[in-house]
Amino acid sequence: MSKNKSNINSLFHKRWSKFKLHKRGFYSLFVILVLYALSFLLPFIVNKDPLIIKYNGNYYFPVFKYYSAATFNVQSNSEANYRKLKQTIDEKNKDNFVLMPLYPYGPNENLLDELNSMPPNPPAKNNWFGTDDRGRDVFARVLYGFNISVSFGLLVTLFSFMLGTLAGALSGFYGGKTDMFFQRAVEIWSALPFLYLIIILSSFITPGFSLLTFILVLLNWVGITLYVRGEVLREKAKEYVFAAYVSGSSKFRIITRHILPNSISPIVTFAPFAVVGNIALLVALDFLGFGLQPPTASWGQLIQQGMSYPTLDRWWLIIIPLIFQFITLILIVFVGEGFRDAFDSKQYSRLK
Amino acid sequence: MKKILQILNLKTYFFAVDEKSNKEIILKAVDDVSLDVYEDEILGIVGESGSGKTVTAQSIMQLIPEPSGKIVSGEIFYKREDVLKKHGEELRKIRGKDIAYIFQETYSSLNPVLTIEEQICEVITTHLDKSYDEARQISVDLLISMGIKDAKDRIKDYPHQFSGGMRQRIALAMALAAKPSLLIADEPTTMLDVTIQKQILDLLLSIKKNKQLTSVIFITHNLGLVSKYCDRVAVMYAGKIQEVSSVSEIMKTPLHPYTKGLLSASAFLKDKDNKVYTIPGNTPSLKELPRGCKFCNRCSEAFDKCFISEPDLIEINPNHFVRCHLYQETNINE
Amino acid sequence: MNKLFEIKDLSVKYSSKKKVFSNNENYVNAVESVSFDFIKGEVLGIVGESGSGKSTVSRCLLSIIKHIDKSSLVSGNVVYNEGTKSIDLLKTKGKELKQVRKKIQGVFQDPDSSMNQRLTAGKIIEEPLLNLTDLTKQEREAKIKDVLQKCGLSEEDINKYPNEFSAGQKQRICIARALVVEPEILIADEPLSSLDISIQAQILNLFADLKEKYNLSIVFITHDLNIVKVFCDRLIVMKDGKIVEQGNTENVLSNPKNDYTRTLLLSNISNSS
Repeated sequence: MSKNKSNINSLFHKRWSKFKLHKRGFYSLFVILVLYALSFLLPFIVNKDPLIIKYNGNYYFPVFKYYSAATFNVQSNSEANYRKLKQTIDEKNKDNFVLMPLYPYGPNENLLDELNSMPPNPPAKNNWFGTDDRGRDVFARVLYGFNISVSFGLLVTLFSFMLGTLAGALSGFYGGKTDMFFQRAVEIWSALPFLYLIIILSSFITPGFSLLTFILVLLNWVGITLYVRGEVLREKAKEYVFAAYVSGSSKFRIITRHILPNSISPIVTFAPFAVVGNIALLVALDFLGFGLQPPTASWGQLIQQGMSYPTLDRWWLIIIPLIFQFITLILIVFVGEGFRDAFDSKQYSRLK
Repeated sequence: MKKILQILNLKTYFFAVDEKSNKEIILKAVDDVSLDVYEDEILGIVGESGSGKTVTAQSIMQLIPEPSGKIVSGEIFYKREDVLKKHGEELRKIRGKDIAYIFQETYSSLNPVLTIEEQICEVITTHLDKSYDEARQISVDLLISMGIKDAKDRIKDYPHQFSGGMRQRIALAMALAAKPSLLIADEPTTMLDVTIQKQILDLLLSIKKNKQLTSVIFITHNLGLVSKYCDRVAVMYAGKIQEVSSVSEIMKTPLHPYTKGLLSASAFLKDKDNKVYTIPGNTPSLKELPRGCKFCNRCSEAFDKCFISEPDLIEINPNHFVRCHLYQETNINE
Repeated sequence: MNKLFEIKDLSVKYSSKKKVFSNNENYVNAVESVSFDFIKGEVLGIVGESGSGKSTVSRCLLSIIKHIDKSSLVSGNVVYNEGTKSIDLLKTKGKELKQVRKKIQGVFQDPDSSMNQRLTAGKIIEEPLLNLTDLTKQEREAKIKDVLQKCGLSEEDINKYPNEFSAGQKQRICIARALVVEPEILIADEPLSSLDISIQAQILNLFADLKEKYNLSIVFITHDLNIVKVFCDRLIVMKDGKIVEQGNTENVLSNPKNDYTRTLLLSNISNSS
C-alpha cells in the first residue's frame, strides 16, 4: 500500500480540525506543551551549576559533571559555590569565565550562608520568589515543581488509563464471568478509603516519585474501566466486527484494530481532567506530608510550610505555588474542553 | 376541489461548517417548493435520500431544529392562515388538533417512559374539552378501532411492551385523538415488515374513508405503495418537486426521466440485456449539486440546455406538472 | 448436482438468562429444525420477516453465530462440501475454519456499520487477505486494485475513508472486501435493504455481474420478493424460525402452497401490478 499521505478525511484529522476551532483549547494545549517541554530544559535555565567554565585554559561543564572544589582552587568539601566563583573569576582574570544559567539558583540548594536574615525570606532582588524555611530558592522550586507535578499527572493518568482500558476491554468483549470479575473488582476498588490507605502506606514507606506513581496507579485504574466497557459492549455488536470475524481476524486483532480505536472517545475526553485531578492529588498529598518528601521540589510542600506560619506571614510560600498550580490546571481544563467539543458529534449531525 | 393546505415557495436550508475550509456551507434541503393538498385526498410525496420530502413535512409543523436548520422563506396556508407565522400558543393549537404527524420511528411518536393511556389522554385533554375519565374512554375506543383488541387491559402498558406494528397503530390513535383534519405520515411503515405494512396502510385507508380524517400526506420512497394507496403524488429530487400528478396518470405516462427511472428501478424490471433498470450515478449530495437541472448528471435524456439552466415546474397536461426541459414549450418545435 | 451446503435439522436457541450464575435457563427458538440444500452455481433466496430466523441462518453459514452470542445453543449439521471433503461448519475451528473462510464470505445489510470507519477503503478490503492468505504486499495491492475495478470503484478510492463515499459505493466496498479472496460462496444478508431504490437496482446488477466473473454461488437473504423474483433461482420462505415453503422461485411465487407465503405475496406491492 502506498504510504498514506495524511488524508484530511480521516476521523483523526476531522477531530483535530474541530479541536483547532476551539481557540481557547488549542492555544492552551500549545502553551502547556511548550512550557512542559521547556521545563525539561530547566537544568540549563535555572540552576546553581554553570553551563561552561573556562579556567586556566581548560573547559569545564558543571551542569553535566561533578567537579570537586579543588579543581578551581576553592576550599570546600564538595562542589564549589559557582556564584561566588563567578564573582572572583570575573574580578581577577579576564581569560577565565563562568557562564551561569539565566537564573543562577538551584531548587535543592541551601542558601543559608548567603542570606541576610533567617529563612524563609521574602521575595528579593536575588531570589525572586524568596526562599523557603530551609533557605532554598522558591522560584527554582516552583519551576522544577511544575515539571514534577505535570509529569506525575501525565504518568499516573497514562498508566491508570492503560490498565483501565485493558480491564474494560476484556470485561466488555468477553462478558460472562470475566465481566463479572472486573465489575466486582471495580466496585471493591471504588469503595476503598483512598486517603487512609495512602496514610497507612506512607507510615512505613517513604514514597519516591516512582513508588508514589505506582501506588496511585494501583488505586486509580478503575476510573476509565466502566466507560471503556460500555463502548466495547456497543461496538462488539456492530456488523463491522462480524465482518472482521468473517475476514478471519483473530479476537486479539478485533479488539486492538477494530473495537478499541472506535472506543477511545471517553478516554480522550476524560484524560485531561484525569491529569488535572492527579496533579491536584499530588499537591494535596504533598501538603499533608504523605506524598513526595523533601528535598524534592513540590508545590504542596511549599504551601504546607507557608501554612505553618501565622496568618499570611510568609505569603509567598502559599500564594506563588497556588498561582502556578491554578494556571497549570486551568490550561489543562481548557484543553479538556476543547477535546470534549471535538468529540461531540451532536452539533450538525441532524443534517442527515 | 377545495384546498386544505397550500405550500408556497417554501425554502428550508441547513447550515454546516465545511471541515476542510472552515467555511459555512448552505444545504438547500427544500429549495422553493410549492405544493397543494386538496380535501379528501391522500397525497404521496416520493423521493430518495436528499430529496427533501421529510424536511418539507417537518417544515409544515415547524419541527426544523435550529440553529442548524431554518425555514428561510415561504408560506404554508392552512384554512387561509399562514401556519409558518404561528408561534407559541397558536402553534400548539394547530399541532395535534388540526394537523397531526406520525414518524418513521415509533419511538419518535411515543414516549418510552409514559404509559399509552397517559400519552393519548394528554392529547385529548389538551385539545378537546374533556375530563381525564372521558379521555380514557375515548382512548380505549380509539385503540380498539385501530385494531388493538384488548385495549382496555393494555392501555396501562408501556410502548416497549408492544411490537413495532402495534406501536405504529398506537401512534396513529394518538394522532387521531384530537380529531385533526390533516395527517402527515412520514414513512410510517418503512421500519415494519411487509405484512404489517399492508395492515397499517389498509388501516390508514379505512380511516380516511370513514372521514376520521380529511386528508393525508404520505411520505415514502416506495412508488409501489404510492400506486396502491395514494390519489396524487409529488416526486421530489434534490430539494425540488420534479413531477406532480394523479397516481393513475403518472403510472401510465410518467413524464420526468427521474420518475420513469424510479418506476423501472422499483419494479426491478429487466431490460433487453437482462439487467435490471437502474438510474446511473449516486443520489445527490446537497453539498455538490450540478448547475442547471439537478438531475442532469444522471439523466439519460439530458441535452445541453439541461446543464445550463434549471427548468420550471409547468403544467403539461391538466393537473400534471413537470419540471423538465424536454417539455418546455420552446422544445416542442424540435 | 453438486450440493455445496447440506443443512440438516439446524436449530439455534438463544438463552435469555439474565444472570451469569442463575439456573433458570429460558430459551428462545430462533431457528427450529431447518433443513435445506444449497447447490453450486445457484442463487438461493431466503425470505422472511423479522423474527423469521433468516439472519440467524446466515450467521450459522458464516460460522459467526458463536461469536455473536456465546451462550446460544446450536445443534444440527451444516455440512459444507468442498470438492471431495465434507466439513461440518458448526464444529470447525482454528486453522481449518480459516481455510473455510477463504471459500465462504459475507456481505451485510448496513454499509456504514459493516465497515470500521477509521480505516481506509484499501485497508478494509485488505483485511481478509492479511488474515487468510500469505501474499506479499505487492500481490495484495494488485488483488485489491483488481477487485475494486470489478466492483465499479477506482484505484484512487484505496486511500479514501468510508465517509467520503455514497451509500451505494460503500456497499461496493463491502462487496469488494468479500470477494478479494475469491470465495466460492457468498452469503448476502439483506445487502440492498439500506439503499435507496435507484441504487438497489445498480447493486443488484453488480451482484449478477460478479456472480459470472467469480463463478459464485450466492445465498441471498431478503424480505423483498421483487428482488427474489428477479435474481434468485430457488427460494426458501421462513417464518418464526421454521421453513414454511421452499422450491423453485417461479413455482413458489406463482403457485404458493403455504398460507403465509400467500400473505407475503399479497403484501409485496410492486409497480408492475
